[in-house]
Amino acid sequence: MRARVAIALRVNGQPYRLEVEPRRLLADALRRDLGFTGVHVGCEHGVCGACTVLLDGELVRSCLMFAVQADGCEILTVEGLNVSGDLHPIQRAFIEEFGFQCGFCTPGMILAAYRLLQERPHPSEKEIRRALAGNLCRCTGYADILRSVQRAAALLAEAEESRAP
Amino acid sequence: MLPSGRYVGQRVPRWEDRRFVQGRGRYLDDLNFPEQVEVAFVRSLHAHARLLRVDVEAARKHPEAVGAYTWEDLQGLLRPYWTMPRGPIRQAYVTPLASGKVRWVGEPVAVVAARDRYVAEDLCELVTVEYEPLPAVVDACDAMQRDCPRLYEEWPDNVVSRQTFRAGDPEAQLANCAVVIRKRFRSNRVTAVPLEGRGILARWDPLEETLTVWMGHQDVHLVRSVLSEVLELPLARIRVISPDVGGAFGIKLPIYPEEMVVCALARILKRPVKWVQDRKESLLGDTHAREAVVDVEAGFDAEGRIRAMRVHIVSDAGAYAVAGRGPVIEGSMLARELPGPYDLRHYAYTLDVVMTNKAPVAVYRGVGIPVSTFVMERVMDLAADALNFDPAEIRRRNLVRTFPYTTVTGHVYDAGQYVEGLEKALELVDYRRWRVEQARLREQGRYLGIGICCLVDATARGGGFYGRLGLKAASQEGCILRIDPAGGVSAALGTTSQGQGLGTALAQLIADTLALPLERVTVVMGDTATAPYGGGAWASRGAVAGGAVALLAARRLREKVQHIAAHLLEAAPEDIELADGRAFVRGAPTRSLSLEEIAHTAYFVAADLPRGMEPGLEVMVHWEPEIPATFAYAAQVMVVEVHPETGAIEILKYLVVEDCGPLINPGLVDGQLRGGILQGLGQALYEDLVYDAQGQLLTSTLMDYVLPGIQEAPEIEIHHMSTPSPRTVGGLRGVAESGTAGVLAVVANAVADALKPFGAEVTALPLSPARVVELIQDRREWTTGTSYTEGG
Repeated sequence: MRARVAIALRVNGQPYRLEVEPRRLLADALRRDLGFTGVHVGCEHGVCGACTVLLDGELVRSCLMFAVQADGCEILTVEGLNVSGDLHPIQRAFIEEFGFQCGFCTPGMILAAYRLLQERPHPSEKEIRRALAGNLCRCTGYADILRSVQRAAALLAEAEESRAP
Repeated sequence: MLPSGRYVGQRVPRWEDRRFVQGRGRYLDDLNFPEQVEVAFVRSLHAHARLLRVDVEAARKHPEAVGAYTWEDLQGLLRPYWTMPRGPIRQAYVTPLASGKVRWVGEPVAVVAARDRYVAEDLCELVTVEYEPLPAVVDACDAMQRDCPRLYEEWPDNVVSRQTFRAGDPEAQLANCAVVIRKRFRSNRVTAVPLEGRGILARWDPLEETLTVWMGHQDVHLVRSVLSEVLELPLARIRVISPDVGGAFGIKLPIYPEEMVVCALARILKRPVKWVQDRKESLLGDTHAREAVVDVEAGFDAEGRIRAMRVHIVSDAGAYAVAGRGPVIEGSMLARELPGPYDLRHYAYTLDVVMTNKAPVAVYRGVGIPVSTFVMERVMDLAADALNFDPAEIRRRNLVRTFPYTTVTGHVYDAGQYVEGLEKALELVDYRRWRVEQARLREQGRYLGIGICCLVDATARGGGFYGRLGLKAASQEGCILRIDPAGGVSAALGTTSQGQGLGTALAQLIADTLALPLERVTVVMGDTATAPYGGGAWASRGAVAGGAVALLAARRLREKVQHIAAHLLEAAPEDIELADGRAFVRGAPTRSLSLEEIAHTAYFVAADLPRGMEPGLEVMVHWEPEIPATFAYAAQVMVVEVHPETGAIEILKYLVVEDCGPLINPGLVDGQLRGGILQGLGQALYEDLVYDAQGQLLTSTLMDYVLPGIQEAPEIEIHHMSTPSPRTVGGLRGVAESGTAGVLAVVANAVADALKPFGAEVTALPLSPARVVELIQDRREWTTGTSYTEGG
């Protein structure tokens, strides 16, 4: 039995403690040990972007990190976007605009879009393309994903407006 | 005719698939069982070698090992299989783990089982394999030489199948043509790379002696049949379930050696066994496709009409056949579909399907047609050049105009508007304006190119397509449709979906036929325990074959509902109308029954049904199309700017006029087209599986095998024409492969057009920046005797 290291993480707002081998990938810890199977593993070498999560607010590829490196960090996976039960506007937009087919790249795409829209609520097409350049999709040809992100920006703006006094 | 109603023809979003946007899909690797073990494979490091020794003892004895096995250890549990039970093909005996010899880099040699994949991979390091390397056969044309080493020593050469065809008198015609195009075309080797790799989870129940297999697959019934044969288990003892599938595109149609081995291990270990490939294994060992060399002789008369064609095709089959899909289909489709949408009467081909020391080849989106279209459309442009016609004009003169049209190879184009489709594309893209723009920019030293492509795509094979070859792959389709006692509707089909949204499309057809809200319809697919026999997803058959049985079943059920309602409401069946989940008497809206009430009678008070009527509200329908059922047609136009210094290709315009018959859901259809086009664009511009002279794959990561991303995705403008097919239910035609079918051609033609000032010849793919620069430099050196770089 190999030595294990105790780590503590917060995932989607909940605290978790686990013991992992130092070589265990963050992606495997999230998927296998904690059950966040929305983290998809598509290439295991940092190219496809399906395993993308937010780590302390920044996009990372969980297949390129060891779980021990995430000790003490706050992680957001796609499952954390609608903990309340209602779909997040980005998730709704992906349905309305046919932004997915097989769904395998979708969690990574949605999180990349989430991060983009935090920084740039009204992104240009070029900015969307740049922000999603690290996420591969083999089904859609991307056009519907692009439109989904544009639609998501509009939905988020609407929600923002309705909240304003 | 498709039903008219609230849903058919609408962009209905896939709300029932909303789990995907929440990360709640259930893909293979999301499933785990207690006591589960995971396996890793030891794979051949050599392309061609004798296996002297495979020693797994050290791995087996390791305290963390659950098991380690060679082919010898699996005797009695797993049978070898044959390339293809019948058909024009030489037989090769394939063992799921190598025995005696290895024939490609990546071939499974041994397998190790452990607690998880990490440990299993560690233990693979303890397996010793001794090889005696043999010369690798890497190039299919070399493989045909008399003195070439043979992959299968019992064969006289490396040709697994030679097929010839002749119609009319091509030689005599060619002798009298105004111009004869003679060229060699090469298509690159690619693979589908679905984002979710392959994997399998197998559980053996020792009490029941049953095997349950979870596996992301396109045809669960085929998996079950193949497993039954190689495991020598009765069919009824095997259940195959395809959970959510993260893309497939053809590579999840065969049954691979790893999958057979995992099932055997589940039986030996009596524990659930799982294998999920990594991306290197996917690039090394998923089936490859489309590598071919095509020598063409095509003759045209002075009016630009194609008179005759002779071709020799060398199709690279790789080292083995995979079970369930042979290596020959790619080449034979290429050969038979080569005439495309053009009227050609004199045609002869020789097809050589050749084994090489590379990964096995089988089907990938479009099967043969992307390459046949590439060749035919290049030939059209070359002939137009030689005869000084505009590329649009030479196509006008050759497109099939009267329907039904039987092709020289025996296919029927049932109905179509081929010339109109081309004209519409030219008009919408503003072809003349682009030609003017091209001339203007050329004066400024800029290189615009306009590519045109017309294509037909065979959709939904029928007529016992694979069954006649002895394969248990159905070309018929089945649907069980039920109205349950609560008034809900559920459909079970033998076909499957890997992200196409087929469930939504079928629900639209059913909901409109039965006139009820879409939310009441559930579609289930991909489980041999519940699905009627059908063929799964291939040949763009989901909507054509799946749609046919869904429609036929829904019509039959509607009729039964009408008869029961008529009986209970004391009206004539033809006076019963269905709307919003209720049955009304026409003209008397107060006299009505809900589906729930009708179902209650059908299931629980059968005595009140019309005399002699069978109880229940459930029907089963099977339907098989003709071979092939029907063709989709498309005209594609692309405008590119080529930058000669960097070899970069910039897509300025991409327009498609598609005729896939009536649309069930334009959102899904356009998604299929755009996705298919982008996959084709990958092959045309970036993707290339490169082997070195020793047969080592040089492109075994996604850093080397470059897939197009969102930055590379052009805006694609899609327009539809909808010519119903008289040969299918509802007039439906398939669409999933039609986008892919045209891309290689339209890109090659556009780039060739742009590079015309350089005299560059575009006959090979991919058109990577390096190749484009090379094409320009080659011609400059050839024409001026000085190199391009020296000339500045």
